[in-house]
Amino acid sequence: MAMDKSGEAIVTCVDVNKWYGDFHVLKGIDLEVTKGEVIVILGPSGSGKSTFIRCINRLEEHQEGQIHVKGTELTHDVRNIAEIRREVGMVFQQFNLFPHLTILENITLAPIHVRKWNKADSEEKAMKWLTRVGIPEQALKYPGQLSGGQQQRVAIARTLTMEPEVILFDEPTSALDPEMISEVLDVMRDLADEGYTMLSVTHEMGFAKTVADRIIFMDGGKIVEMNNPNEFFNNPQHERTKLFLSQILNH
Amino acid sequence: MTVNTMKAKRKFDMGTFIRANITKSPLLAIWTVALAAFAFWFVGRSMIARPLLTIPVVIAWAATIIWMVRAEINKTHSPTTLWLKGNLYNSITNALLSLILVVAIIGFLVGFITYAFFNASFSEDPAIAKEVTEAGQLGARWGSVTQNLENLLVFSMKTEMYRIWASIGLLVGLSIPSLIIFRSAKFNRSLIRRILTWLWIASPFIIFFFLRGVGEAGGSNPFYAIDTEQLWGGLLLSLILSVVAIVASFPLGVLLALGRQSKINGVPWWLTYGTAALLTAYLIVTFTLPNLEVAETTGNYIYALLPLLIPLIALFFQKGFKGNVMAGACTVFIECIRGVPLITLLFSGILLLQLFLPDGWEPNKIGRVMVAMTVFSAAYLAENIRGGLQAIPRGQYEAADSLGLSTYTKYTKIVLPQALRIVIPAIVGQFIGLFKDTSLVALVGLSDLLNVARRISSQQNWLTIRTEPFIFIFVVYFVVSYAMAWYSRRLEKQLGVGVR
Amino acid sequence: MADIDPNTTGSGNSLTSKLFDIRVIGVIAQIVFVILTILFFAWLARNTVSNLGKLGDAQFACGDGTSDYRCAYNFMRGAAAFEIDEQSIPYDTSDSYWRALLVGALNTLKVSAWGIPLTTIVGVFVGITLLSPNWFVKTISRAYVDLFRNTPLLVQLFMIFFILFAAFLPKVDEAGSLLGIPIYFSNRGVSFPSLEFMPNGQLLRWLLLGGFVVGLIVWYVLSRISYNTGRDTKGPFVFLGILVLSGIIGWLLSGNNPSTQSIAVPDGSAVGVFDDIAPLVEARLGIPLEDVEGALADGSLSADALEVGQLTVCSTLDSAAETNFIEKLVDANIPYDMSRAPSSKRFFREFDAGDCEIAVAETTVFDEGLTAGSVLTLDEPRTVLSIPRFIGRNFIGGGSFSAMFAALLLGLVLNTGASVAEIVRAGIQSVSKGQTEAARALGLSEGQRLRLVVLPQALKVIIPPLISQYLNLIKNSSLAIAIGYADFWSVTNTIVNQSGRALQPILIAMATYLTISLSISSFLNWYNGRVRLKER
Repeated sequence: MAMDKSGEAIVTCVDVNKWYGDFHVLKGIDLEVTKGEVIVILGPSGSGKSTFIRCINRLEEHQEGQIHVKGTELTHDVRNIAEIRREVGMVFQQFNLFPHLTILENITLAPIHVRKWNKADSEEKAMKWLTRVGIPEQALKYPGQLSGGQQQRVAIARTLTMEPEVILFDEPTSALDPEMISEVLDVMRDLADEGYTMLSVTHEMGFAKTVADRIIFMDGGKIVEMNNPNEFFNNPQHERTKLFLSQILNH
Repeated sequence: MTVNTMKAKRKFDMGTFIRANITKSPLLAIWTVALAAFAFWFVGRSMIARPLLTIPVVIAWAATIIWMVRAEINKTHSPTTLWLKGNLYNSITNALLSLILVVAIIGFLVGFITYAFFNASFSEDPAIAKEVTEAGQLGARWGSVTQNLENLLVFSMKTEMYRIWASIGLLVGLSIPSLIIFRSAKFNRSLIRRILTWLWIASPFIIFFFLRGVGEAGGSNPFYAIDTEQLWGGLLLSLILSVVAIVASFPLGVLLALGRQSKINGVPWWLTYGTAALLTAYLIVTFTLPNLEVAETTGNYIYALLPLLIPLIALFFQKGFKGNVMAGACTVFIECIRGVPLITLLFSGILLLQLFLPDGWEPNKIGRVMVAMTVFSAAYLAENIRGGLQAIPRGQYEAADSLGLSTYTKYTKIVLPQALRIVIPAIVGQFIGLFKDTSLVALVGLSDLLNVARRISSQQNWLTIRTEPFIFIFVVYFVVSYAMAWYSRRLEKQLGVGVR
Repeated sequence: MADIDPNTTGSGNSLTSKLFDIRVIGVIAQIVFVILTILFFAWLARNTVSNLGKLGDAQFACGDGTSDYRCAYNFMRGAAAFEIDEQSIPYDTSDSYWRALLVGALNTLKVSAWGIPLTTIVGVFVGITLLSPNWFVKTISRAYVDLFRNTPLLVQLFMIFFILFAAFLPKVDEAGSLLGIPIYFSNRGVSFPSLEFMPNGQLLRWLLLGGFVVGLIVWYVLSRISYNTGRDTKGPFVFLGILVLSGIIGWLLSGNNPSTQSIAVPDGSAVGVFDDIAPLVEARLGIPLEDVEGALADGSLSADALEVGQLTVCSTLDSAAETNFIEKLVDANIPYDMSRAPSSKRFFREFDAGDCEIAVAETTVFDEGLTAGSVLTLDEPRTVLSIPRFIGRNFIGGGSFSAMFAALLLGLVLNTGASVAEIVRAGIQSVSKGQTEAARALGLSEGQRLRLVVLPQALKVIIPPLISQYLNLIKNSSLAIAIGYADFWSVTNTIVNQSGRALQPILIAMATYLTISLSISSFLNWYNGRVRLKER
């Protein structure tokens, strides 16, 4: 996967709307993510940013609008859902490793059962990714025996072994102790450099500034502002964005 | 202990002591005096009845109190005196209670030991037993138990003991390698461990084959089919029934739990109500109207109005379960079984099961009881497993979904393995309950442990002898249940349930 | 969610794509499930119909010679023709199966109504002693709990009934009083004194009961006020005050009602008023009544002579009139022999056959169908303290529990009590140490700490499993059949044997138990929901 920002759209969202009962969470989100792009989504809590990326792989259901991933529309059709979930990986705030399986089994489970690769191939690829994230020696341990940062790196390896087109990060560092955040961010930075398409919800401003191609600011279920990092941080257009940034910078 | 040590450092003050123990309130004073009077009377009685045992106890009581009080006043507590202070003599009330209780325990034990050993007869000859036990005041005739030991344990299977030995052999043969293989981490992922696990899972079925047998008698097959109703009984039957119930109810219990828990899309309301309305309308025309005419003479209106239940049922499923009929049906099944006493299910099994089965299906009494106990067990098991399912965090489902796992893989590889591990102690607990509940089959005429014990009193040799067999089975039930409960608690600690 | 929203259907509206729609798949699965379930039940129903057909038309006889499914329950109106030993309402063998079931249900209710409060008392007491600082107390309660929780209830019941009651308790004629109090334990059961309210005293009874309930409510309200304001509201004293006050009002109001109890004598009897009885019996025995006991003891009056001379009395079983009358006879030292009919029909039969000189009953009973003889008034107080006395072969007067009832109650209470004890212990322990320390730090006294901090939190943990234990107690009371107490299930089983029909009685019984269970568990759900709401 070389640096290839060819402009081919991988995720396309058109007028996505979602309600929780009467509560309008997502209000007409439009977004196009091109191949190799790194997008960071910022916003106050409750702005709908997590809900939005969880809609992309159908952990949440949107009620109006269209989401396309690599040309496949996300509908109620189970075949489409399966197809999209194969191509979209996700890294969670709470890691969500399977505690009863070893690290290696955690990683190879989906390749074997979803990609239908054979066990040897899956394990080889898993080990490759574990080496990449720096913890090959932990392969036979159980998640409970690992530190939070190591668990999150395993979760990233688990996602990447599936060779997804897009990776969604849902606040991947929020549940980590401060000294472990950087080890996870380093891995994410490497991935960005290699040209992976990434959508990340995070509060790490440094990461957003240096790595993102585009920054999206969401509030009240809408995309308020969307710009490149330089413009976004130095010359915010919208009042709400200015307020948000001032609150964060003063902090 | 820390509190005690701290108190020990404080200087002992007689005034404080008396206030805390006697004069704090009039009620406390009355209580202390009354308790002291009762202790005096009670210990005095015991002193007259059993001076040799009571006097040393009273002396020991007084001596340890003096020892403890000296240590308290001089602040020279040793671990022993601290324990005495903390556990036996921490107030006047407790010091008196300790004395009363120890004397009462001695009285009870002396009475029981005299009955069970000194005045007892261990002879299996009823004449000798009668003579020996009537010489003393009250003595046990253990001959009634020892002579019936085989009946109590295996009943008529005593003629087929090789089947039991084969079963025990299998269990022992599996246990010995298990002790090594399941303990050491070396075998963690090995094939041999997997084989052993499967053998354990298969063992109930193999043992069932040993005990029941297949095929005709004669020929070279030693495990030919036997008449279980005639032969099975005693403790063996109780164990068989509880194991069969828990094993057979397992798949059903898992399905019921998953069904009740399921979030499958429900039937849309217009479909439910539409079908219900059409069906009701049809039945009103073809059934209710003609029957209402008949009811004008017989007064049997309820029968004619039965079709009106259909809209109610539709409303129940739609409102209560959002049209998820599967969840609704599983819930109804579970709650109905849990809502009735086991004994009604056992009687239904014996009296009604035959009515529901087609010609040619004629399970014997044991088979019918097994069906009833399995159904009973499945409902309770389902609730236990559901508890386990609810304990799985949502993140596990989401991780599985985000990886694109199919629903089947998600449940078999991720959810169920974790949920079942959480509920192992609960399942052991349920097994203990089932084992105790097997005693109910005595009421439908099977020869289980309880019934064999009950029938001893009608044997020629041991007419009216009830106490000894009942004490024996009480002990058997207790030992088996308590051992399993103890093991379950150990298992719970090992699995670290609740400390994910 | 369930209904299909036309806005969100995606690309491809072909039939195949519809079939892969997750919502459609769900609905199809549901419908397949419904069809399979219906097929299964249809199969069961077909088997049942064919099997019932083989049993013959008599199963569903309508009584007019025809036979039809809609007459399945008609037989329940027929005469039960079996005796029931214990009954809270009049019952006779000529009464219907429905009435027999009702008698059984009331017996189940009776054992549950006694069992639940007693279980609570035992469970709370033992639950606290399980946490006692005294090692002996703790160990003994632990032994009790472990022994009763690890052995089957049925075995416990058998041991209580056949060993404790049959072997250890004295025969009924040898039963001694307990420490001088007239409570008699025998292998027939327990007899104890009881305060009986006569029809005249009914107002008093209801006012006392009402005062009790109102007092409890006021006590509860006062304790809430005390909880909220910290003022000592003296709840127990207010409660006692209300109780005493309602007793006094009841006593004053209930005195002047006309008499509702009567005695009847056959035509031509020498008894015209109650006071005629004593001279009559005295004349027959030939000695003053107060000397009878002494004469029996020194042998100057033979037992046979007493039997001939004593007064013979008929009564209906356990009526207030009987209690009242016996107390009067005892006060006047009149020796008597008692025949107690379980139903008014038999009572009249015995009286008409001349089995007794005096019949005693509520006046309304006489109004029902006394054909001969004259009815005399019986002086009637508000309440009678009735004390059990051994007469003939039985204890008469006072309250009594049969051995079956007592054994069942004892077994249920001890067994359920052990479980409740564990629940109470766990509940108290669930209140974390931090809470106790916080309370101490706030300077609350030990009593305040228990009342204000520990108890409210512990109760939240205790109450739900406690109610399930009550439900268990009710369900387990069906084991009464093992020791011959005529509870609901036992009567059902008798009906099955008596009528030759199994399906209908068992269905009725299961439906009844189910109704009880479901109402209790829906109450529990409601309670849990409410508690959870408060915790948020």
